Amino acid sequence: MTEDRKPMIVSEGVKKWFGDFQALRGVTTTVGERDVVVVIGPSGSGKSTFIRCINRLEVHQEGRIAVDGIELTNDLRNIDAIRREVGMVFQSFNLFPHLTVLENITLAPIWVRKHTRTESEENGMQLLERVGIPEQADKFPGQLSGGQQQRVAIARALAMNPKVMLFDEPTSALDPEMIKEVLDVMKELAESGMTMIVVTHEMGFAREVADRVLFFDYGTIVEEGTPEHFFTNPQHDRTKLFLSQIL
Amino acid sequence: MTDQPQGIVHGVVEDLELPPEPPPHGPKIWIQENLLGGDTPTARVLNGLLSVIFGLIALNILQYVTSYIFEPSRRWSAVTFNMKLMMVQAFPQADLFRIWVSVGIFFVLVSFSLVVWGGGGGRLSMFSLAKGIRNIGVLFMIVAIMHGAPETWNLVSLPLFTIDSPTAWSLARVVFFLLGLALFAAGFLYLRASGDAAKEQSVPVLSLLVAGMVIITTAIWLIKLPVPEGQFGETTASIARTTTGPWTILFAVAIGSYFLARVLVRVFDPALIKRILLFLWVFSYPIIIMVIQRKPVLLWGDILGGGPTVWWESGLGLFVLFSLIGGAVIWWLALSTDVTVGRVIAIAMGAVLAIGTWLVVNASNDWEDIIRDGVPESAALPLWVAIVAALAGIALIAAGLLIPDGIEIARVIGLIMGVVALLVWFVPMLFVVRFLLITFALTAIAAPSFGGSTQARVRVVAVWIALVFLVVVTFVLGEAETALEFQSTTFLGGFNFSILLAITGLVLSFPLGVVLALARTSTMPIFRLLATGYIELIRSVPMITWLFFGAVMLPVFLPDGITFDEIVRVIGIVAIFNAAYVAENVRGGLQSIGKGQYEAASAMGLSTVQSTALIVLPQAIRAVLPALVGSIIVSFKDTSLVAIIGLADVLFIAKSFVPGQTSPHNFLGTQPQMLFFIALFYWVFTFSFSRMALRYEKSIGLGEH
Repeated sequence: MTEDRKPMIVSEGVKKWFGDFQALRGVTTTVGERDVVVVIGPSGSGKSTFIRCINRLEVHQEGRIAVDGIELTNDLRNIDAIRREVGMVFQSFNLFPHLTVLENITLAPIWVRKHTRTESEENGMQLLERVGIPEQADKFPGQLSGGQQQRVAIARALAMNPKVMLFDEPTSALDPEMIKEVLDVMKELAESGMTMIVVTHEMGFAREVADRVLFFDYGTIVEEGTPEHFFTNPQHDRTKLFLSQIL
Repeated sequence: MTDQPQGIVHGVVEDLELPPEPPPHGPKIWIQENLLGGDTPTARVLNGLLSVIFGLIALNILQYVTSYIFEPSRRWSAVTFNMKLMMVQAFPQADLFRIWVSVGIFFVLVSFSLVVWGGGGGRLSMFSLAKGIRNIGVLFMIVAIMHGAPETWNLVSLPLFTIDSPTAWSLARVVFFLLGLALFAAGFLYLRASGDAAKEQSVPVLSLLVAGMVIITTAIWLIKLPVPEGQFGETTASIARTTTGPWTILFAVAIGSYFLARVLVRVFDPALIKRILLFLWVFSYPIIIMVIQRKPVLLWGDILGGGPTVWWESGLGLFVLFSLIGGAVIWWLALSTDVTVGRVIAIAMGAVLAIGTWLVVNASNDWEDIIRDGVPESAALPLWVAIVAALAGIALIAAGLLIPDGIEIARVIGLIMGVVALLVWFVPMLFVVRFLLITFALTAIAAPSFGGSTQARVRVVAVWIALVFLVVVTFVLGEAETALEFQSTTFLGGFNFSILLAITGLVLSFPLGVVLALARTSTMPIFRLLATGYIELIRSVPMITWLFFGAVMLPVFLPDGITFDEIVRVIGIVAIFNAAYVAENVRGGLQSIGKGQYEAASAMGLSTVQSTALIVLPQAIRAVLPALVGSIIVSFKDTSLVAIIGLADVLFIAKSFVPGQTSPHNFLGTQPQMLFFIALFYWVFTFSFSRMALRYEKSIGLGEH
């Protein structure tokens, strides 16, 4: 386990409602620096909502969330500060279709970090090399395959030099043949020491890369533990049922 | 029992196969596909019948039109003879070169832009070119035949006008027919000879353009146009040298600057040329209207100060003051991390505002009187303006003293400058200062979002200085007298005036429309309410009503001391009216942007202003480009409505001026010809514009994503 590491994300009793429907019923967990946490669970269990609360794409109503010591409150400055430190990769990529791949990557460094264009472009090309598609720099997202688009999205999030990366089902919209190329990039990222929270159905990835696995259901963490614990010796009935259905 | 096979390996097909040959083309298939259609015999009979009927109707319409045009009694001389009047109205003959220079600047800019952005204008496939030529040939032949067709050919005898065409084949008619035949043969034979190869081959659009220019130049030197009878006893005459000469030079200049541009992009950095060209496009237009065409009398006193003008009210004084002080503030706003500087700026601006208000109120009023009688009507500052201004000043000082964060102070400064910008309309001051303060408020609000690195800060300040320059120059030039001697209310008239209305109205309406669209989709109810109210009010009242309002009623509603020229009012109305339509189009585009785009932008830490300007608007506008082109065309055509309020645009001249002339030539009764010509004239412009827009839409790959 990871108690010795500095806490990067602290969540205490986080609750969230959509209208009358309670999506999160008190989520309490701590993610340490350099931790890779994989979140699994059936759809509608609140796992995406939870990580979307971490960078304030959804607003939680009760409980507290702190990222790298910054409290997530209604104060706009804190939200800005947290978003600068937290990169996010979406299921549907959400690349900007009117900008080239390189422009997608350099946009936030230039306008948010206020770096110069040359500096951002150099850094952007390095990131594209890291995700393995430097030759696509001048193409538009629409001209790329799904796997390539998702790798650009990862590079785009990394360009802000974030301390934490959130992945919201990054491979769910991909053809099976393209899933591996994205997972490889994510593995490399995990090995480099990035703090990551990954919502995914890729059990192979969880088993191989995760430090810790959280199993969500009914808006709360039903069970958590090391991958080994999960895939060999799950305790809760709900966890056993879920794992038996997908493995 | 033999082994049951578990699976079969089919392997991979290595060889690529060509698609099967398409069935041979022939007249029979062509007729089947184009005239009969349908899958069942009944459908084919019915469709064939419809094809015949509508074909006859089309021919009939063509006959009416051609007979109308070529009717010997048509006095087309009214059109050709009054061309200058329709283009520029009463622009003095001696200063006509100013118009030619304006057109020349436009040609040069277009040529350069074609090289820099258009990649030479693209290519047209020989297939569509040959088809076009063949079809034009067919049209020419039909026109030549139908022109002389006896009246009994008419399918429907409509008493539109009597056709009294000669049935004999005059020389002109034969030539026309042969020309059509030649074109048809050229296109047809080329298509036959090259077959499918025609689809592969293409010609640069530009060379077609050049060919067109050469043909037109040759033609205008050679052809003779109808002139009113009686002049030198002739019915036709060559085009005057004062027209052919300039056009020839203009075409030469256009072609020459194209090649010059090709050399320049190789020698210099294309990015630099693009920037300069963009600058020239923006600034050449006001220069053309206000300097080249208006011929202003500039007084040194207005520019540098001296005479009756104090130095800080002169153009240079205002420019220096605003670009330096405003530039310094905006430099800080563009990276507002230094709190101390922010405090100083906020307190200084607040002090100026509060103390200035105090001084103005103090100077024009006696406090004892105010306490006894209330504020007099004649006060230099309305009471509420004074109170709001003073409060804004105090708020700025308080913000400077209390807020510990530079970015927050910057936000407060931007906001309060916005309030001040609204107030200045009610305070007597130089008109130009009002505009400068509004420009400052808008720049101040935008600066924190677009600043950042030193590079970006320089850019923001440069934009500010350019805006100050533009505003000051516009006012200095606009307030100067014109040296032109003309006999109408404005120096602009005819098509020249229509163009001014259309371009200025559109340029102003676009930013306004975009802001309205954003406001209408805003999460803040007050913006939604205001924008919805504006759009629904403007759209629900006919444009012509608004034009009357602008021409007749607006002067009554404006505060004392604020007057606008009638042209300015009309431009304002065109802009305000069109903005409502632009807003609705852009709103459609905004709705087409997925939630994911907003989420990605905010997850990256972009502010609302940044994600709107960099992510949302570019996509929204691209998505509704066809609709926006439509509304541009509509608003171009709608400028002709100003004819109704008596402004001399091209339609008004064609409809009233020309048919009203009785001396030296009698053009009474030529109104139908004139209107026919105007219709054709507008059609040529709008059609070519919509074609260009279509090409542009294709080139940016609209609809591909």
